[in-house]
Amino acid sequence: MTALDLHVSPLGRVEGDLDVRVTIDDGVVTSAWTEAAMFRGFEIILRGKDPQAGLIVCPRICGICGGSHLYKSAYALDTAWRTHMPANATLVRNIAQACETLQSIPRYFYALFAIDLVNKNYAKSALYDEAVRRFAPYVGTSYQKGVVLSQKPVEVYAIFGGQWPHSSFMVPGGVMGAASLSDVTRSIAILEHWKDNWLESDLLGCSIDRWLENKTWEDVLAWVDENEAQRNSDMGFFIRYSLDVGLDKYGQGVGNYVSTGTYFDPALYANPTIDGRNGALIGRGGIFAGGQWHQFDQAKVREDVTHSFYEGSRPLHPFEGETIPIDPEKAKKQGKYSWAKSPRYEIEGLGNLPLETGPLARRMAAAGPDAAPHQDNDPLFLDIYNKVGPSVLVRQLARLHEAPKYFKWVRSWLDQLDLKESFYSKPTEYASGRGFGATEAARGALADWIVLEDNKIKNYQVITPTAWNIGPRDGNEVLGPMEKAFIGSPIVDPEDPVELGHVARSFDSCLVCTVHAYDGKTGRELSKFVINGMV
Amino acid sequence: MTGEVPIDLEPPGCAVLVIGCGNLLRGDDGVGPVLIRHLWDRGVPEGARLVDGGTAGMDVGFQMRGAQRVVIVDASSTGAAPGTVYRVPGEELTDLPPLQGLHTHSFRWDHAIPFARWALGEACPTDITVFLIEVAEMELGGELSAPVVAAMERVIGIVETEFLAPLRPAAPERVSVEITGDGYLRMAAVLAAGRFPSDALAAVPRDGELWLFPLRGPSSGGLLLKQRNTAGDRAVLVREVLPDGFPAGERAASWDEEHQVLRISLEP
Repeated sequence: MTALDLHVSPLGRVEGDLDVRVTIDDGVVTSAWTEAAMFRGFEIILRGKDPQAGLIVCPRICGICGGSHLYKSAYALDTAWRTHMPANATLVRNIAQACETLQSIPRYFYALFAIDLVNKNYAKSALYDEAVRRFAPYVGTSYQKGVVLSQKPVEVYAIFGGQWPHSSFMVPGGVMGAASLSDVTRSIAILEHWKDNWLESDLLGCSIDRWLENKTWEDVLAWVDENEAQRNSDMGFFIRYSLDVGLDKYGQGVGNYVSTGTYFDPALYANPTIDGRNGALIGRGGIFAGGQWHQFDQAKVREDVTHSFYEGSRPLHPFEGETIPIDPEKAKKQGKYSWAKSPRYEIEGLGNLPLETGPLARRMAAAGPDAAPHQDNDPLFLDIYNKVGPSVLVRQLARLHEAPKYFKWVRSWLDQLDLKESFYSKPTEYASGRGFGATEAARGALADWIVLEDNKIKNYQVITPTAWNIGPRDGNEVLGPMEKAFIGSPIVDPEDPVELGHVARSFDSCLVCTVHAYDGKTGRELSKFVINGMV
Repeated sequence: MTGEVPIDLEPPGCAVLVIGCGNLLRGDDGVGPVLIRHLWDRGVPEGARLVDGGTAGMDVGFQMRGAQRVVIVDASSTGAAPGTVYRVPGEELTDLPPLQGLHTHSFRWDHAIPFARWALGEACPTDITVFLIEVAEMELGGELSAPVVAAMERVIGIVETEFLAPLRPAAPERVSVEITGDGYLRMAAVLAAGRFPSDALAAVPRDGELWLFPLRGPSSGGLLLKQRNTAGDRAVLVREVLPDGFPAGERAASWDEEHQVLRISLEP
């Protein structure tokens, strides 16, 4: 039996760095530890500040999800201050947030994920030459077009938000600046251009409506073979190639999912409250765990710090959340190994569970029962989950599936804007209160909890999708979702463990990592590669 | 819905584009975005565009499309004395190593330029200047340190002199302004844009004259110039510094280079 340690070490500047240690026995990953190597501290920066400080600080948490951070920070204050939200403001927030995700889908797919599909380990595939032709970094025919055109949707964000990312144009009670008719027509023209020149022409090879007719895995397979255009589209090719190289076979994860949902029906969320949130959502939230659906309830979220470099003896709800860092060197002696906390969700009878978040989690929520007429009701990924099972392929497919879906939503919201009506209602700035705001960033559930007292922030807690996915073990020694997803991955070539890259990238974490592969016995470095980084 | 008028899908170009990169949450690393905010307060001349690049990565590259001249300001951490300002020579920029991978979360100026060359092709600007400011403190949530503030002021001065000032209209030395019966001072657009680009000023009676001091922005108070017509002419309420019964009418004014102030004669 050969034991190997694969070690992922830090590099980079912004959101933080991730170390992943993976143990391999007989060519299969048997355990994993995800170690966030950088202290964040946004909660500490915000404590004692003006209630609206989160609108400035949070969009700077990330250079790629700034709009998502702003969206949920604004709603956290909206619920705390009991604002009134004009319909136009809800629509503009929806449009902006969805455009950020439409940007992320191709940028992530081509620039971060598909480049691994040209790994030499796949050279024996009959489809390999075609994969290289399409996906090779910088020179691939699909890569270049997809990356360059990924800028188009966020040009629409900048029309409404002034700039992207790092805008602070969403404010309690609405948005800054009323849209003009030329803003709307220009936005429509840009999005139609993007649809005509990438989404339909390159990704799908068919109309968005034809793709969205797919309701089952068999439908998807039949769609691939329906005609040459679909078969040779990037989606069609990706499905065929993934099945050929086995991306449907590993990266399962915990199999339990959280989505906070996002995008509101303007009429149903004119007065944002925590309790009224689920019913007003268009993109539904929900928990899928143990084969059952549950309504998402923020009150059941906990953060466990048993293996995190913080003080704390029991899981806390974010309103009561603490961020008390301790020296990692001392903390390591207590078995702690990460700067990330472990988000967990309490389900009666099952305890505090780790949940995967991201596009697949959203798709599972969208397949749940009791959808209202205004809500996303889409059975496709429940069917794929049951027939293929969660995997690297299914996670990617869920992400790509959202491009046509969100495109249609954005077009409809643009048409609903009434330019004669208001975009802002001045709120009452209550001195104290509690708020919860959440959204779905491209990479998953993102939420803020804010406690106000004496016109200041008393407590602020942010739970990012990356934290849900890469959090460490909890007090019951239960692995986090990404840790769990590595387990069982077959490593064909320990000198070049591309499979680990696929699994890590399939979570689209906001992290930069370098992978070092070591022989556990001799300590010899076997290989080195970068996930999400400049190679 | 788009009617007959074709819509240009590309963002409008500009004569000068200034991009500030860095993380506002990490002390001195935020000097680029802070500098952008200061430039904004000082007034942006026609033809210039400011971009808070933040940690946006490849979007910095996309922003360069259609710009004739580009200035990038970023933080550096080379071990030099804090506040050291580097002006990266043009030949260094042409020799940047080619990109070998793309990352959305760790992207610096030296990635943005080759990325822009790849993504924009012939639309990528060739006139690119990079300023780097050596950091002292990178504390989470910290303010800019004193040496970095001083260095930022130096860079603001260079950017203003070499890049922005040529875009500002040349205001004549001798002009006239109008004072209205209800105490407003009116000035022509060219005078306002040339001498008071931030639209903020202080008005002080001195030696029988009214002195108007341009301010760097409205954040510390002062009087605000308001646009009064589509030509861009401005008006500012100065009633509080005029004597009672002050007669309305035209007044001669001249720019005092030594004091950097507009001196307005109060004699009719």
